[in-house]
Amino acid sequence: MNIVDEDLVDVDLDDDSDYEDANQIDNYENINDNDCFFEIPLVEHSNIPFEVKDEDNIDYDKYGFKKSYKYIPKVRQEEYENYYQRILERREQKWNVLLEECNGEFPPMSSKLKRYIRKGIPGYIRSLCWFYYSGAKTEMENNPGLYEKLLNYERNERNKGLTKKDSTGLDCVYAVEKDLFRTFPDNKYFAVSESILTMNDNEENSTLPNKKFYINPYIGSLRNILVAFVYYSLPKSENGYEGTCYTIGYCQSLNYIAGLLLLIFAQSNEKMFKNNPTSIEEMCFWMFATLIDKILPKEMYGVNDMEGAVIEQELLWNLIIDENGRKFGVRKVAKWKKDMEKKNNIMNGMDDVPETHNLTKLGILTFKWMTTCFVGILPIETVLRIWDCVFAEEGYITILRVTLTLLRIYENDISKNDDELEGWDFINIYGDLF
Amino acid sequence: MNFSGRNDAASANMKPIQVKLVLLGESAVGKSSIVLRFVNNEYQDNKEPTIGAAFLTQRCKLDDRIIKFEIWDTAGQERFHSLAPMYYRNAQAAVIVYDITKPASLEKAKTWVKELQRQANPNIVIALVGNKIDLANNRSVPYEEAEAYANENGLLFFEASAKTGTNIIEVFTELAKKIPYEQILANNKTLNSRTNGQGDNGRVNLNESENNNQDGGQCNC
Ligand SMILES: Nc1nc2c(ncn2[C@@H]2O[C@H](COP(=O)(O)OP(=O)(O)O)[C@@H](O)[C@H]2O)c(=O)[nH]1
Ligand SMILES: [Mg+2]
Repeated sequence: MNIVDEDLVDVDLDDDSDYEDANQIDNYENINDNDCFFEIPLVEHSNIPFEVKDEDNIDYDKYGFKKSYKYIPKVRQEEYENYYQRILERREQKWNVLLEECNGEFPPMSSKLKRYIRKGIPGYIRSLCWFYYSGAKTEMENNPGLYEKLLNYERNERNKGLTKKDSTGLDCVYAVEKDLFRTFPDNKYFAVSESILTMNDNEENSTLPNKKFYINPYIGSLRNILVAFVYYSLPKSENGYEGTCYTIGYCQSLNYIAGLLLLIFAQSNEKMFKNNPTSIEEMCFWMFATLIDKILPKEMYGVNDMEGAVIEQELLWNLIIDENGRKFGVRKVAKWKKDMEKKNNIMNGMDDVPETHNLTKLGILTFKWMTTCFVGILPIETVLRIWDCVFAEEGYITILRVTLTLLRIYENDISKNDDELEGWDFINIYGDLF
Repeated sequence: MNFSGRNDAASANMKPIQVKLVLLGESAVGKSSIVLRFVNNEYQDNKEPTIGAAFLTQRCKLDDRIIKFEIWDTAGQERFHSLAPMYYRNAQAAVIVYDITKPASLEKAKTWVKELQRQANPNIVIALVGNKIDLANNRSVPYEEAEAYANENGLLFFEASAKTGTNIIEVFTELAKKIPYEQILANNKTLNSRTNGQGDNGRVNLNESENNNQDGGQCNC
């Protein structure tokens, strides 16, 4: 596995020639006009107009998340934002030149493009870039109408009078619904009012999804994406489509990933999301399906006890202790891990507990980093930069690299703590700090 | 019982007894909210789902002892279940939560009780908690039914609300009272003599670092 990318060790922000102002907007519209979008708005979006309201005295970032000044003071954050804004503008100009050179088409992959992607895809074109380079666009074009069909699976099951007790699909849908209002409650687009929250739950055997999930269009679209994925990823024997290579249905943490995809796609295609949310949902759905089924390791979210995610932790920790941590510059973490293991073995040996569940406590933390792809762990802008690499070309290895890097950055803090629990506690707090 | 932060003068030089406590129960019954209420006295509508697990601590004073609860808040979804033994092994206390408006969540709670009785530390003290009593209008699990089940199985039983704070401290207080401390101390003594080749007057010596990360951490009841 090539964790260190020899290709790109030397990344320099000032490496390109002059630029001209390209008309990026053209390019963007061209792609949107693609004829594979649906005409029929199939979604149960409510007719009640939904107002996004800013709360008084609260600052929001450009993605609609409430800002917190708990760890980093406002001035410092603003200083940084100003600094970063200049970088963003610069990157945007560079990208414009690049796209201009390719007549508004996305250029084929090259080490130059890879470098560009690593330095961050400009916001205005991010969603389309992800969509194109991840292969999601091809997936969608190869499966016209499937998204719509998948959404009807739920309707069909309900019409047959099935409930969550006798349908795996509806049981997963129920699990999805439990997490809908709990996804980004701090984001102004996903926030819902008390009156929606307290609306009654559906009758068990209702043939239609509960209306309360469709009052806020973001929540409604999130529901659709996750429900479509439930049926996409269930086997035929359970009334599913068997679109993924293993059974998933729904797994907590997928709500965060689908939610962030939706936020980014809806934000950069605002008009379209208003007029035809289904088309945005469909793109998000294929992004999501491509990520889970093609980019991330197998069984990461599977019903099979998330075996893949657990295996990934073992793999990660093997990389860490490899050559006593010298390989990836995490010597202190490696030593700490060994000490903890020794201690645990003594304890477990005494308690006669079988060592079947071998994740270290720090392993549970990295488990969370990996299964959420860092949503809610790192600041949003950082997550997007990581996702740039994940979606456009480099894939899952990015997640592993970032995980190793975080452990490396915090290795002093981790190893300072001589008890595994304290180490965990510390990292948890640092997680908030980002 | 008296819950106090580490600045409490009387407790400053006492070594706390660590009590590992695990929260179990179906997704969205309010496990994380109960912990948040107990540890920070906060409540958040729409608490985000827990991925994997979360870890928090709270110090309490019970009679002449300082107890440091190490709380493992687990993820409720079935497929995270395989991670659960990691949290409940070596746990001295468990809080099993259901939602009084969701009968299925009590059924899930019962399967957790069985699993703990079969596989956890045989001296584990278990409390069954019916959460969300602020929603009593939508109640669909009768108090008597759950209480009878708890009595049959030797569990502590409470109905509570993380939202209003009703009965939350009480859950942890009653648990703390029932923990067999002498046994923990004796165990740790054996463990220490195994580790260092010498006893240690029965003090918990696994984790004495005083750089506790709790700020707040104060509540009095
Ligand atoms: N009405 C009410 N809602 C609650 C209470 N406790 C938690 N909740 C809500 O129930 C949902 C699930 O809570 P959470 O603590 O995340 O549950 P967990 O999945 O078991 O950890 C969230 O929307 C909470 O705001 C309560 O006592 N009363
Ligand atoms: Mg939780």
